[in-house]
Amino acid sequence: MDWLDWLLENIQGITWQMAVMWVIGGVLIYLAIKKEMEPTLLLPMGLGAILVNLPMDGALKELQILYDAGIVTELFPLLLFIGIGAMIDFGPLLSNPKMILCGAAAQFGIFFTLSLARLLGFTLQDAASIAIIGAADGPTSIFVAQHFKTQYIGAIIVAAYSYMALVPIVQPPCIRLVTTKKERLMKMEYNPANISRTTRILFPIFVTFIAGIAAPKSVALVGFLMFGNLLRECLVLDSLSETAQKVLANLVSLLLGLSVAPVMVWSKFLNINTIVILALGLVAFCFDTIGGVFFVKFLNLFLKKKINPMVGAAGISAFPMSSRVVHKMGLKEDPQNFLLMHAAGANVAGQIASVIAGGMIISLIPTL
Amino acid sequence: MPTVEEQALVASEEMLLTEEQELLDSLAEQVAEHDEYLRSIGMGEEEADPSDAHVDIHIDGPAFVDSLGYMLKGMIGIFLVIAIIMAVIMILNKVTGKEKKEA
Repeated sequence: MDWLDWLLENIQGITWQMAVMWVIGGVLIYLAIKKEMEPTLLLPMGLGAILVNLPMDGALKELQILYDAGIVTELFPLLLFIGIGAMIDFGPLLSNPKMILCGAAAQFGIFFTLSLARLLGFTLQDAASIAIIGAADGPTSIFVAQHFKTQYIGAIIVAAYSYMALVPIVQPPCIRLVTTKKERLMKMEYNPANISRTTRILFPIFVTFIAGIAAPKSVALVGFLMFGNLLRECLVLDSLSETAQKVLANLVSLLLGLSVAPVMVWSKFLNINTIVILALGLVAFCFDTIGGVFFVKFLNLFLKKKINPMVGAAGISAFPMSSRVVHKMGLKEDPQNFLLMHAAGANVAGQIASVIAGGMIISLIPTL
Repeated sequence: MPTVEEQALVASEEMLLTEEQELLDSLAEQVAEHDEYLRSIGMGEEEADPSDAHVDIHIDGPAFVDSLGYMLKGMIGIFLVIAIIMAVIMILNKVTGKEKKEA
């Protein structure tokens, strides 16, 4: 009956904290499958959370190898950026360059949250890592959090991806709070300029140069994103571009989701700080939205052709969810109010601005 | 009775001792912080007991005021870089647009 003793020992090794982590893992799996929220990441993260919270440490040792190889070295977020870069069409932004300013303004939530986290007593490095949830960009959050080697990386990753998936729920109330009906009804003409192939090819190269000179510590982030985009726009590497968009992005997302499991061990994850970090992440998203809206209102003071302030809210990195939210809100106010392409311009600007914001944070804040 | 020079010497020595003590205190604080950090990333001499997960949330006004500088520098930095990228897009559109018309 030795085997029964062994089984009993394992069962006795189960703690209530492990059970809580199973529930969290289950919720992530539910959101991924039933609600289709970022399934490529939430599904492996959910199962990973269960795998490392089993008796005898579960699969912690094996997943730690993935974590060390992909997260500690910052390799997975960078590889994922190649795929993201290959997916993005910067056309709407190149067609209307002033939309890029919305991307900058909508990073306000990051710095607001940094100050708020400092007020709550987090160290500067932890506060910076938490604040970057406001970049609304999973790979950037992982890259910055890992750069500062924060102990809260598990909660930060969960918050970053959860709120990205919850953009359609988080943004509308914030936008309604700071806009009037008259502002939401504002219509915008869309006259797409014909963007030359040369511009499309030179754009990622120039952005890499500029970001590399302005924030050299984060040039890898921008560089990999722009490399992916160059694959797409050069039009001579279609099969590579397609591979980056689909196979590479999916494969890295899968490994990334699993490899964050070691930081979701209950002893690291289950504490009041996790709840505070989740709340701060929500604050970051709300103030990104509010910052973008207020900036457009300010910009309208000087513009002849006014911009619908809701478009400013699309300046976050969550693409294409944020532009769809703004478009739907416009249609809800007036079925003839089409804002999708303008919002898409601001949204892809958010992709660039969020990476630059990550670079700024890394450059401004010293590591321990 | 100690002379004025002796009193001054004692006073300066006391001041030096106070300064040294303050330096030692700050060093000890830094070492403690570093040890705590090492433990948090699993490199400390002994792992912290997981059940000791404590709440260290507290209001830190001076840290908040200090962080406002980062907010200002960060936002200015982002707008500056973005403005340069915007200028580059405008120039690229103008130059390549002209090329197209000429062609």
